[in-house]
Amino acid sequence: MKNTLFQDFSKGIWKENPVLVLLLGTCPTLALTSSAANGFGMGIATTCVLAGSNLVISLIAGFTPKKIRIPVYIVVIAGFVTVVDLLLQAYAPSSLYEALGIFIPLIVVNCIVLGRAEAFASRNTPLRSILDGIGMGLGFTLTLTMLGMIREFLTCGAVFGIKLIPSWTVDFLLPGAAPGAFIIVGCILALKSYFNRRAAIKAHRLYVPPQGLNCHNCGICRIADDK
Amino acid sequence: MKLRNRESLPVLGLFLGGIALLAALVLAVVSQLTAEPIRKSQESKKVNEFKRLRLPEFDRIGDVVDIDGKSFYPVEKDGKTVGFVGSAVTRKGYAGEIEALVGFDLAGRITGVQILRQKETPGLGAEVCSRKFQRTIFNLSEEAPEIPAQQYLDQYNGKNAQEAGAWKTSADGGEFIYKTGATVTSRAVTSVVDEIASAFAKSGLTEMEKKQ
Repeated sequence: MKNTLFQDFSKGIWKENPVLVLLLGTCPTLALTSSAANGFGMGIATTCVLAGSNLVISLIAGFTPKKIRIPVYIVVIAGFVTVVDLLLQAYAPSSLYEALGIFIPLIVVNCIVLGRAEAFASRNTPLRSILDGIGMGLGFTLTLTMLGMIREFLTCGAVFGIKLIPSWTVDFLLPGAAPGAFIIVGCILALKSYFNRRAAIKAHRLYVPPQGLNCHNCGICRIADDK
Repeated sequence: MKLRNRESLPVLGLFLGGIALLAALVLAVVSQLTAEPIRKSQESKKVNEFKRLRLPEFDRIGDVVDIDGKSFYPVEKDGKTVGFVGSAVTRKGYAGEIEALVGFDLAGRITGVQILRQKETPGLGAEVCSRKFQRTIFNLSEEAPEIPAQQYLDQYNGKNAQEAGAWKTSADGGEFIYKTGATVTSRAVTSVVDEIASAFAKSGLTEMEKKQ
């Protein structure tokens, strides 16, 4: 049963959010969200790459020899990333380009891009693939921007450079650093899990956690004995 | 050649090579198209930063002189040197390199300090390094000044390069203020300004100008 065109686009934003559900692309998520503008910029760059590479890969997947499909996809992705890198260097404000720095070339190995190419673009029509790419990219951008806003606000009381409160009375450095980012992402994952669980209970469905967050395969503590 | 079999080695090689060639062609085109804007934005960055150093009026940047690993640019008006800009990079930043520009007048006094590039923590180290007009919800529509004042960078203005050599932040017993929570960055900025100023004092560049 195929998704509608709109579902293929919108699933990337909440139901199959690449960071919070598929648990992909955590490296730039943690490293580039110390400010909202950086997170937003990275999200937009990745969305451009996703849309472009999904389109091209869905067009060539039909006649690409199976044995070299991964290197071929990587060449396409790397090509798009380089184009985005050059365009950013030429036209973006230099503060943004320097802040994103080495993470732009790292979009090539962002698991979201290759993951969607392999899992979706190589088996769907170009139109669906573009929608999937843009949807995943949008979900990624929203997550990064939200995380960036939270971290920027907690560290310096500002959001997108606009100071909302005079100053924190105690210096709160943890959210600005990587461990703090991990903790905040963990809290957001827990929150999302809670809402999904509630929605499933209301609809009398069995709640199935996303694969990466499924307790049943773990066995460390007794949460696996689910109610 | 087994060209009928899609998974045969020659076909695999040809296909991958073909895709790579295609990608290279596209990149060559885009690289050509963006070469000019990139060069322009990099050039204008340096000149714009020089303008923010409150140097005496100048219309030309002279040839660079390298002293002791630091670059010094004479700035000229109508052919005569009216000041110097020293630039250096320090790796003592919290998250990597910090590149600083220090403007000097002919008497050897510092006219202004600018940080060209840094990757310090936003809100802490980055605040020490940048002149930002802090936007709050109360001044959303105000116009930002050309050279926003900033206490950590402005504190070197007026100091003579001859006095440099042992400049330290008050965290290390010196006279320069530092930002709480950004000690490493503050130390790095003081250190690089100190290095540039002492190199300038030792260089004798101002003597050479006076002789001319």
